[in-house]
Amino acid sequence: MSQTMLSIRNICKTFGIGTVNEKVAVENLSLEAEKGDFITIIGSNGAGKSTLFNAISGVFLVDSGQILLDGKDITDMPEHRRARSIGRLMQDPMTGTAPKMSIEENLFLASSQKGWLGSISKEDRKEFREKLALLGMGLEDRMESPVGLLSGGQRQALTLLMATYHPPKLLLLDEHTAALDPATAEKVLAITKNTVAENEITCLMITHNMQSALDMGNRTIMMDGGRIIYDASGEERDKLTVDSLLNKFQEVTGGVLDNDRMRLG
Amino acid sequence: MLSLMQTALELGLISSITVLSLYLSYSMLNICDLSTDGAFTLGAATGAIVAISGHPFLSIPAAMLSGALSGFVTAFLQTKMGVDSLLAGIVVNTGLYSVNIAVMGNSSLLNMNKTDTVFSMCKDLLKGSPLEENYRLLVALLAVLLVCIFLVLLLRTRLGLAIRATGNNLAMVRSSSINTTVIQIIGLCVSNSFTGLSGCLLAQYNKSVNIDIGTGMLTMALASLLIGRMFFRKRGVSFGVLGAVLGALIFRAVYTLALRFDMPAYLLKLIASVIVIVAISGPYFHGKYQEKRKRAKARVNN
Repeated sequence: MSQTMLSIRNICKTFGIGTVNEKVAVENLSLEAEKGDFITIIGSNGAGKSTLFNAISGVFLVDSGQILLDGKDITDMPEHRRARSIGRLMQDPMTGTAPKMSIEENLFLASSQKGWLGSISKEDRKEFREKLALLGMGLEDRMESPVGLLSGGQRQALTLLMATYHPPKLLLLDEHTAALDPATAEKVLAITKNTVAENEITCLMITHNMQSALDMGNRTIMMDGGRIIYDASGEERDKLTVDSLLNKFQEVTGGVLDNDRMRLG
Repeated sequence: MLSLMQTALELGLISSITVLSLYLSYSMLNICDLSTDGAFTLGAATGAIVAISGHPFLSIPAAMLSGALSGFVTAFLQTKMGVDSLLAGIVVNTGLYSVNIAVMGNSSLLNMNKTDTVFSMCKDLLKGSPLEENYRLLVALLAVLLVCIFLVLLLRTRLGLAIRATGNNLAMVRSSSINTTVIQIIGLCVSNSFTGLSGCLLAQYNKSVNIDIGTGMLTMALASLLIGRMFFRKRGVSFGVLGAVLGALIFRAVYTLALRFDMPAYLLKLIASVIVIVAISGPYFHGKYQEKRKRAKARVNN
């Protein structure tokens, strides 16, 4: 039994229309994701991956096409209303948290359902402590420290916890480990894997690391020039290796995937 | 000298409410609200008119409401009508000049010598008690205390945290389910209601309102805020609130002392400006200096 969670129908987005910088960022793109799908997205710079995420989360409205989330048309919905059901993590660990506020204050903003006038209670603190302990980063003993004092990995793990505190219908991960050192990235990816699986969150993850694109999730799509050029799942995907994926890219686009970072990643 | 210092304390307390207003808008919400001068006068004028019409206690909420209204307009202009944040404040400030004269009944001066004010009501209340002579101090102290408690409690709520987060990392709040427009509007309404209250109290303290009563308030409050920031650095919000009040008191005290040593009164505003410049560019130059030294050191090591 499967249920469509995200349905993107023929969306287009062009930037700078009528100027010399006119750029078609996403062209007639369609994508369906089932509930619980974990889709990894790869593609060279400028392929339209982040534009796709911005369109889904409502940073801007698309020029044409339709976006449905859990059967509901969100094409014209403002960003903050979509944010109730869409969680998002960016590459820069600084973007997802308020540095001058403490860990518990950041968490409270993301977690509270007590309305605007509620404040942090003992029970809240207990719950925060338990959830932070699960991250395995020692944050549970520093709940009153400003988030600005944390390392990039710790901040990204905290942002992930905030984004999934009340499991969203859709989680968008935009290279959220790319700015971290390899060991920390590994750790954050493991936390991501657990969180997504435990809560059965539908998730899209952009990555430049071909290996983790294949290791994580159940489906991989490749983008180029604002379109999806390859979409693999099931058995076909199980057989893929980093090399065959790179060959695939060459075969479909006639070009070479533009950076070594992907191969080395 | 003692009575001079007491006056300084009273005036410092009254102006500290404007400093608290800036603490909310400038330090927390990260908006430089240039309409402060006008909102201060608006509160003073509105409060005076209501008091003169025979409702001294009603003058307080009326002044706060008028301030909140002015804050709403400033916030609306910058969040919904595409007016740049600084420009919105300047435009509202200019417009308020006319509004304020209109509120004062086409006059630029109102006299409250024979009017019942919150101060005179308090004096009547304390008649015969040993505190009678300190009625001004008591009213000012009570007002500041209430505003401080309200502000500290507010900043602890989810709304307050949203205000702080909006000022601290706008992009983060924008991509969350919180509507930053609403947060900025609420923040500026609350902050300007404080400014209005501060103006209302000063007018009733002076027993008169002059259309220029608010001129330079923004710079003086900013100077106080920046002085206050030197204490309790890196401490929580409650200490920040305390620092704001302390800053206002120190500013007033220094000013009073300077007057005592025959400084002409008209220099007050210049001093306030210089304090703001020093407090803001001081850390800037310090940073540059550190960087330069680091580079010089690196060059020597090479």
